[in-house]
Amino acid sequence: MKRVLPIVVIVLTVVFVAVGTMRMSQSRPNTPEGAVHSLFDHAKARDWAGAFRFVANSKDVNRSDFESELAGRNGSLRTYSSLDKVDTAVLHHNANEALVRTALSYSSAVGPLRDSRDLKVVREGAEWKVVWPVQRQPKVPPQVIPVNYLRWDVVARGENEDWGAQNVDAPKVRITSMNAVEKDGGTVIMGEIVNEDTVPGFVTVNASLVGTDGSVIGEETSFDKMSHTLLPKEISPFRIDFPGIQLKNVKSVRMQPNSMLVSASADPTIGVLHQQLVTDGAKKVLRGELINQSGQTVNIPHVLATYYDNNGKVIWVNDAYVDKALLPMTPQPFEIAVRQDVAPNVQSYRVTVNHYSIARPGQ
Amino acid sequence: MRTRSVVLMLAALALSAAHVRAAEISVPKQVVAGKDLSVRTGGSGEATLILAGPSHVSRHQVRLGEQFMLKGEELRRAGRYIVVLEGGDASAAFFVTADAPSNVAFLAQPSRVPAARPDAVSGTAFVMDRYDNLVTAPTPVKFELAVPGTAAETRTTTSKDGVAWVRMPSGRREGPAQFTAAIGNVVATKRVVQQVATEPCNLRMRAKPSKNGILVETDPIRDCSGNAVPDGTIVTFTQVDGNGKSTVDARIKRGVARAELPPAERATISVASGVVVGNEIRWGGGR
Amino acid sequence: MKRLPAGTLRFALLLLVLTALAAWMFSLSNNALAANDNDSRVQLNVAGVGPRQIEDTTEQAIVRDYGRAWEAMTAAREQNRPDLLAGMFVGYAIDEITQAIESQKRENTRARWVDRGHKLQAVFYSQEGSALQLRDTAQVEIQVLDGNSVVHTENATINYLVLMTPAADRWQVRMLQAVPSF
Repeated sequence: MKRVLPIVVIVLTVVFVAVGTMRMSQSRPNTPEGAVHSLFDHAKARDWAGAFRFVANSKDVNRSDFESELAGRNGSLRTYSSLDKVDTAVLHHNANEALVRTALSYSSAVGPLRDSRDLKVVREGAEWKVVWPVQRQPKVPPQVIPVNYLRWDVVARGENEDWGAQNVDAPKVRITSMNAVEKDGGTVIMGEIVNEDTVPGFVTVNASLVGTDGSVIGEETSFDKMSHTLLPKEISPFRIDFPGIQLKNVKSVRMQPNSMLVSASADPTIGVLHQQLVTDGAKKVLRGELINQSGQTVNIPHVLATYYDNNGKVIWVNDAYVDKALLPMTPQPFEIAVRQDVAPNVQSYRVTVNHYSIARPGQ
Repeated sequence: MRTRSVVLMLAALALSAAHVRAAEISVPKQVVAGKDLSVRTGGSGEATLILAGPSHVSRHQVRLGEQFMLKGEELRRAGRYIVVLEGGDASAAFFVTADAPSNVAFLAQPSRVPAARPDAVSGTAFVMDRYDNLVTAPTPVKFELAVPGTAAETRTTTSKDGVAWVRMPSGRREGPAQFTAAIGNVVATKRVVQQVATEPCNLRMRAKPSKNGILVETDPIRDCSGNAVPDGTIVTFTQVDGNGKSTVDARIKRGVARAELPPAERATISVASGVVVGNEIRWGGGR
Repeated sequence: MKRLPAGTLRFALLLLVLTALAAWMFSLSNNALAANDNDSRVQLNVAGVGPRQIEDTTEQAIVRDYGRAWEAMTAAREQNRPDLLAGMFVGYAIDEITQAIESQKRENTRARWVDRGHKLQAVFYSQEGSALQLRDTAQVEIQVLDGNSVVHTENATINYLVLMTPAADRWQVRMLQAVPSF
């Protein structure tokens, strides 16, 4: 009995490994969807050579670009995420080619990232392969870009200073608008906050909901629906969700903005170009392009959109992470879906960009 | 009768043994900090005198019936002191009061303030003597606030219980304002209150074609008092054209903000900083 | 032996009882501390304070922290432990009391304080909330001990000018100066 158990475990292990390998080695997908799934199954396992075998136009596609596109590059958000799910639907199909709509879902630290592509799949002999779209990776020409934007450092009061010595004050911030709505059975507080001061600050917004009996029924703080580091005169939207608390039970809202002095840099400047609210199928999306006007790569851009009605009131705030890094002077498209119940009332909008970057040389 | 007298004497002796309050000690009610104090005692013989004060306890051997001087260095801290004659069971209390004002502890707030704001700066002065005692006698304190090179704002208030306070407007000019509190010729540590520019005033921009699009640049950005709005301040340029809306959050650099917007045949370009809106340019017609 | 008259005997007995009573009361006074060590009552009146009004939470914090400061001070003086002052005293006040305790240790002489209560009147609260001045009418019992022998006891009403400044999570006593009168 003592020897039987280890032997059984070893045998089972070998069997499972073999089955797994065989599944991935299935080299003859005999349907268009099968080809797409085979390619992405290998990509999911980070077997790029295996995935590349299912590319029909391998002569035209640079292998390194193919791998970088699927795995992410330049410290982008895609680099830190993993392919979770692949859903396919054949749009049309004949004997030798098909168009397969592929919805990819990546899991990341900031939530799921979704990507959708329409992939052309062609028959080569007995098997189907994917025609991978040829995308030339933009090359940033060698150049020197002087970076002479302002940088702020903070020197706080020392321990041995006399008791009357001042410390540097936190920046003054002010909430310029606030709106409370009910969505999906919960209360949502949103608005905008401005750094009125001449120094940068790390800003958070806390909200407390006071019930009809005067007690506090909910307390939350803004998380990622705002830019937390605000430069002087910078405006950020904020949105605080209270799931499960209905607006009719809320008598009043107490807002508490907080700020603290932080070191910051005025670099980089990111332009948001060609913003448009368009209809994509059944939904409204806000599309545009981001352009990094500095000389350093912005690894993880975070797009915040604020929507206003015809009275200028903030009626919704949402955000999206772009899973590609922003190379200097290279436009990168972005897209944010707008809630269907909000879209008809949107009169104008404002897009701002937050960013997270790996420490830059000299910092 | 004789028996009764004996009993009375014995009782009196017992009472005095159990509960004796003899000997004498007298001191002035109060003395100025740092000055010697004369202590008078009654009786005869020698005794130990204990001095207990707010920061000090000491013992001295004294000859009863003679004057004893407590040195001023034992009486530097203002407060209530007790002198006790040990064995003689006599005690007295006195106060040490503050000496003449010779020092100011000064609190100034805030560290940074917008220029030309009423009652924006507050100062609190604590009048002290050379031994760090609070001087409770009313004392005039002069407060002065000025950016070097400009006229000073001056206020004088009289301290109460050692505290004088003031609220003053910030000056029109930006820069490090020196804030001081003085008693006669004694000036407290200077505090610096950084006066900064307020909101941009008359925000104006110009636009011209560039190699890659439209270059927009503001005039030097100043507040309504003429102070330059600091570098790093966000200025947002917005262009609305046939391709949608484009925005660039530029930063003021060397007093101006500039950005390059995408090319467009016709566009409306506007500029804003914080909640202040500047002029608008119609590009491509009626420029 | 001749028997003493009854009146004389009664008189002697009365004197004896009175003497015993006096001696018992004297010995009681030495132990009076044990009953009321922690009975510190602080009342605060904030009417008329300026230039800033005192918030309700600040008022409660002042009462709490001033009471705790006095507890800390009486314990520190009693036990010759200046470390007990940390957190409740700062600046001039902690320096002063620490010096007092150091000299107590040197001279083997202590001043023992019993806190009988405080009536505080807030007189100044700075605009930005960084300094608060109070007038304290304090009832204290003070004993002076030479070694372990009590050489002096008194109950006194002492007027203090108090300066308190805020720390991270409490108010601290920065100055505690007795004055002849307000």
